[in-house]
Amino acid sequence: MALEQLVFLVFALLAIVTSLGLVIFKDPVHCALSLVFAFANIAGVYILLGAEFIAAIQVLVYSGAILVLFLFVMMLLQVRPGPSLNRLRFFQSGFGPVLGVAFLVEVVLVVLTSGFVLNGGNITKPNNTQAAKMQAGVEYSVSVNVIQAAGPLTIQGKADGIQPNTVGHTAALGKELYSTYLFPFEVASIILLIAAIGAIVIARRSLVSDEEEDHPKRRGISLGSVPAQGSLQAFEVERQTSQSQRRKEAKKRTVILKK
Amino acid sequence: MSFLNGILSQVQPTKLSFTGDDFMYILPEFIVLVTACLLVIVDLILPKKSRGGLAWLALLGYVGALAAAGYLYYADATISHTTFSGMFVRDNFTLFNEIIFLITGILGILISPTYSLKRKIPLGELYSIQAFSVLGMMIVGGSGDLMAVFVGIELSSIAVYILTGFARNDRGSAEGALKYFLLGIMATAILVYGMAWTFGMTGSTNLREIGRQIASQHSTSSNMDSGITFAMLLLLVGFGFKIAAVPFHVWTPDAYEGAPTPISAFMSVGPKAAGFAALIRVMVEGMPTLSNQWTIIIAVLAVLTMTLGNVVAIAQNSVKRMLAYSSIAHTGYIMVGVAAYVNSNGVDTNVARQNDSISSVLIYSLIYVFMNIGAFGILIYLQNQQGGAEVDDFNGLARWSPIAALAMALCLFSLAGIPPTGGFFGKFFVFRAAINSNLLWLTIIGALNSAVSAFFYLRVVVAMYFNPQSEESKSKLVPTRSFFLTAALVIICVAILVLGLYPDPALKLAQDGATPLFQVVKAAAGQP
Amino acid sequence: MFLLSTMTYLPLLGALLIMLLPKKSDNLIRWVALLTTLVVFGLSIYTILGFNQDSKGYQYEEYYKDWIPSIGSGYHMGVDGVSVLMVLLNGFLFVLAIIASWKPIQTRVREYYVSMLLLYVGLMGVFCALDFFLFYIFWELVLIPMALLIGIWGGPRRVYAAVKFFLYTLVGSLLMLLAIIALYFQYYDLTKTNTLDIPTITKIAPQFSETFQFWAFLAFALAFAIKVPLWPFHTWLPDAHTEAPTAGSVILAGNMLKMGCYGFIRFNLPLFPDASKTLAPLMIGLAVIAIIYGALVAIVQPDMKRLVAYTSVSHMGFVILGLFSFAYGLRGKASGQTTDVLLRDNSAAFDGAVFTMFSHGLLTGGLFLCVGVIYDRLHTRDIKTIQDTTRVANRMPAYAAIYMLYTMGSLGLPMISGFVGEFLAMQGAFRVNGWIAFGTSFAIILAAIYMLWLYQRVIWGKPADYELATGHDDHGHGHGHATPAAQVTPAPTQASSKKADLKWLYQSIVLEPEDNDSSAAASHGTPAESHTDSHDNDHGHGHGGDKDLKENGAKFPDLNLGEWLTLYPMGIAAVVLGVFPGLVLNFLHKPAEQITAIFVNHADLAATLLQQVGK
Repeated sequence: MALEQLVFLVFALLAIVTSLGLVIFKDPVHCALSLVFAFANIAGVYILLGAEFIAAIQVLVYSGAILVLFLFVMMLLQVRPGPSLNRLRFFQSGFGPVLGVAFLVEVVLVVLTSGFVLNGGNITKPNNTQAAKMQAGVEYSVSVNVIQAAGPLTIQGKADGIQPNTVGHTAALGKELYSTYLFPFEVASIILLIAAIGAIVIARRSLVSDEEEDHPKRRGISLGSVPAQGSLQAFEVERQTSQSQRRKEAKKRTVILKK
Repeated sequence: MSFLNGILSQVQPTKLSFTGDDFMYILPEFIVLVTACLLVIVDLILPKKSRGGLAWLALLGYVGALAAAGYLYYADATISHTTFSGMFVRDNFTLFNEIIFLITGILGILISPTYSLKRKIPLGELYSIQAFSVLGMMIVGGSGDLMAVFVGIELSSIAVYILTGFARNDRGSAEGALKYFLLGIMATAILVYGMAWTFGMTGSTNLREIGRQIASQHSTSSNMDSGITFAMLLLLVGFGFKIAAVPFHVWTPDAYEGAPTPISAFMSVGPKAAGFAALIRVMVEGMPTLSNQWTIIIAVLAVLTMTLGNVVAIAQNSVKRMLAYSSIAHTGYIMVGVAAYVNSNGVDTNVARQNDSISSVLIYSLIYVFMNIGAFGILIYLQNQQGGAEVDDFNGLARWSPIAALAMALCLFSLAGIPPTGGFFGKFFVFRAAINSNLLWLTIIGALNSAVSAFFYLRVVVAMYFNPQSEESKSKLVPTRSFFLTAALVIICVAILVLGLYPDPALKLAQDGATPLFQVVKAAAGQP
Repeated sequence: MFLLSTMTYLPLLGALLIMLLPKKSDNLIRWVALLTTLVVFGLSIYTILGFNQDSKGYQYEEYYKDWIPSIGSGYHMGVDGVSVLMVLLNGFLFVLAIIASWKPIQTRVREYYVSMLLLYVGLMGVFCALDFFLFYIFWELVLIPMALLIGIWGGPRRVYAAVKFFLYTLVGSLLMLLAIIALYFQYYDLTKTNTLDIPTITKIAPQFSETFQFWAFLAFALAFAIKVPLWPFHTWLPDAHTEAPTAGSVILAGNMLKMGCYGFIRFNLPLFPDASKTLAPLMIGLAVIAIIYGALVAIVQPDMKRLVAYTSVSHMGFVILGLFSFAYGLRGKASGQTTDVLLRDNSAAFDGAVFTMFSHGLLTGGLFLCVGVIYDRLHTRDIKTIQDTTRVANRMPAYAAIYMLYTMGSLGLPMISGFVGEFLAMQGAFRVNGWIAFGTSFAIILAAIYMLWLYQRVIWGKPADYELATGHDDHGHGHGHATPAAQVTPAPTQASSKKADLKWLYQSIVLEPEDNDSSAAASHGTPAESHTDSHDNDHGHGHGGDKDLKENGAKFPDLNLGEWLTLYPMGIAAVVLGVFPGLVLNFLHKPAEQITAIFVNHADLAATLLQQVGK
């Protein structure tokens, strides 16, 4: 048990540290990388909880797909300021291996200590078949839905964690997702839809407003008339617009992250 | 195959989470959803010139949803039906909230076009995202489960984040959107954390089950688990952000000021009412046993909220910002109603008190929708005509547009709580609930606050009626007519007067709306 | 059957009609407004003629229980002896106010008359409503048009005055609202039914606990004291009065101040009998301070209107004094005395209070109209400037005469209505404590000082051309022997000598030697033109021949038709009431009896309780 908690602590602490890194690092590439790391650690925590499907999704979708996409975009657009990498080379060369080793240790610990995992230590045992796990998983998932459970509650869990015989399972999860939790699931899909619409609108409209600059008498709270070309004000306006665009993008990014 | 069959036989035959009948119960939500999707699609197909018709489509959707909600009410007025395995509850509380949100949506559509066209805001997307936001709020109002609360709040909030940033070439809009977004997701994180704690403590996300669990724990052990208190605090903080209660209000002024004015009007009303709906659902259905704790917290927050909102509003020169602070203050008044909640413990007189408390929140939210959107509506009118949003821009409004000035005065007096407007009745009812729950001190603070608030509302009235129009503003005047805006203002003024002079039907509906919550509470406490 | 509602909502109809009229038709608007008020006035006369003075309770009742049944509020209108008088006063004063604003109001006429008629709705409603919710709506409804009247058509500091007026009254009203809600729940606790109906709640009032009564009394009293206004809540009044247009001042003094007094009569006394008795000394104390303070401050006011405003503070003090002397007197000796005895002993105070309310409406309204007359001609209200410009008595004799009537009425000359009320109120106060009556009687002397001195300065201003250039010094000693001038017009001598006397008196009271010239130079707020005029005239009087007539004759035409129509009817009414006070007093027997009955019942209740406890 102590080791299990130790593993959890390592995952959790690393997740926190790397999340802080995401905020603190100046270079967006570093930020993205530390986010990948954070996601990986969170996936580890999921595994500890016996939710291996979510862990897999976490790694595949977030770390694998979205963040790699981010990195591509960043590198293609050359958002990163140039020289910072050089200055940090020493730090990189020193810190990188340490992190690498830490990550390796984590993985090894997970593999070796799987007997301590909450599923009753049965992952490596021969009777740990898919079917057995599924049954355990179904019991867990169904019993969560206390409304449908006619009998006494099967979960007595307070803060002391989840029943030892519970293991998440993909099929059961899917079944639950499309029956009991259909409603929030569908609403979540609507959330994704409007996030997409919003991103498109905000991105598209910048083009529209660029096209239609020919409105000298625009009125508004802070919309003055268009300053003369090449004047100081024009320069200022341009700077501000690009700033706000950058802010928008940052926002968009976070919106996508939320998915 | 046999393997799969084996699995399926072992899995308990889970029935579908809804039937066709159940589907009836989310008809209003469904209509709004279809409308929102249609708006996106039709916007693409329609030629640019005829896009004004989108407003009619959106209105049709909202009115259709209202009609559907009304049909469900008249089919069975005492309905209380859970569907989607406890996620969605169709009862009168849901109904009243739907009315609030749909009216918000309708008025939000009506006040938008002229302003948005002038500022190159794409109308199709505006309408559809707004409709999605309304959908989110409706889901919150009808939620029976923490998960539904969460996804509903997220749907409405994310839509509003996008709307806030709609005026892209306006720096204020971007800034407001960013602030709103960042603080909003922080609040969401806190909220989810609180939900996780609640789940951990009670083993369920279903609100009624949570209530039952807490009640049974409460009855078995005299000292309550501090974990559940912690969960409650986290939830309160999360909802506090959503309703803009002090000290979680910091995003409000910038977001309201930065957003395009029709959006400010919409977001000062809708998400706030949704926040209150969620607060009441979670606290009253899920944690009635803890009401001694959360009512006192809410009472203290209400004092802070009212006082800060009103005092800071005095110093504002921008009417938009002033209305932002005034909306904070109104959050405080509504919170007074929530704070008046008393857990019944089987005492029948307390049931009346509970009903007063919740129905006062509902009726105040409804009235607040009208008066606040009305005030913003005149602001939009003014911005359409001459661009500014300062108090000085209101100078002499009574001269060049007496009807607009009259409407503004009506809305402001209503906000200040002066009869014979709806705002007075709302305040009367909230204070009544609070006094009945022995919160006289709170109502005295509330009354003093509304006197303070009269001061800054009066400033605008003074500008409109007593000050002459400046030459500069005369030169800026560009007469603009908008059928939709006029229609909205007429509806609002009539509604404010009707709610002030003959509030009984609305009040009855609100009282009906509050009733199902207590049946749930009673059931949780094991009473018949 | 719908008489009261008709009276209340007719002005609303009139206002709507005016809103629909074309913009330029100012005269048509005025006629519509006048016609509306005349009809309502006619109805109010009809009401009071049909009013049965000898029946208890409310008359002309209209009661629809299901207005807002959820909170127990019904639409209940009705009048008793006190309120029917107030309704009549409303009807009367509004007609005059509309006539009085015929000429002076030339800008934004439509808005003016709409505000005026809305104000009318509110005031009528306040006196007729018998449901707390309804009452509160009307009570607050009064605020907005009045603030508009002050703020748009008022004097130079009008916005400040309007906002101050609005906020001041609002604070008080809000506390009253809370008290109303608390009362509502007290009633619920006692009877398990919800109602906001005033007579129903009043019936059960004696059962309220004493602490509750105490606090609720204070909350109500604060709202009403601000409205009355009672010292120390009076500071909004001088500003509001000074800045308001003439008709606004008339309504403010004549009707709106009565709202506060009416509130005391309708709510504080019958709802909280215990608290009324215990707190009566406090209220009496405040009233005495208000009476003396108002009078003293009035003496030194340089502005005519402000002076009259302070006299209002003083006069309204008499109302409160009367009311709470009445309440104090009703303490009786527990259950020993019967209603009749108590009533016989104490009704004078109550009668005096209500009578003062009524007569103050006429007299002070008249005084404000008089101020308005001067203001329309000279565009200043500064006493010094008026005094130095011309001798009004010569230019406008009709005006001087009616002004004299109001002055005398206001200072309490018998045969004019002011005397009756003050006398009765002081008689009531005497029963409480002789010293109180003694102290307040000084207010009458002070009233004589400020009123007569004002009259002398305004009406007998700059000596006329034909007066001998001997100056004032001679007249100071000149009692008894007639100067040549005195043969032509005896009044100037009298006035001048009075002036000297008063000046001395004034200096001795205020201990502030004042010089005519210096104060004229220091007088502020006067138009520059008349200011220089006054200087020239100061040195040149007595030498100018017809100079004054030439300069000021055209400026000071005597009363025009509108002014005749407003000033004289009001003056006549004041005299009629002074001679036949019974016209008003007869209405007051039953209300006084009812309040007494409540007090006695309550005392009986307490006594029986005591006996039971004793057993």
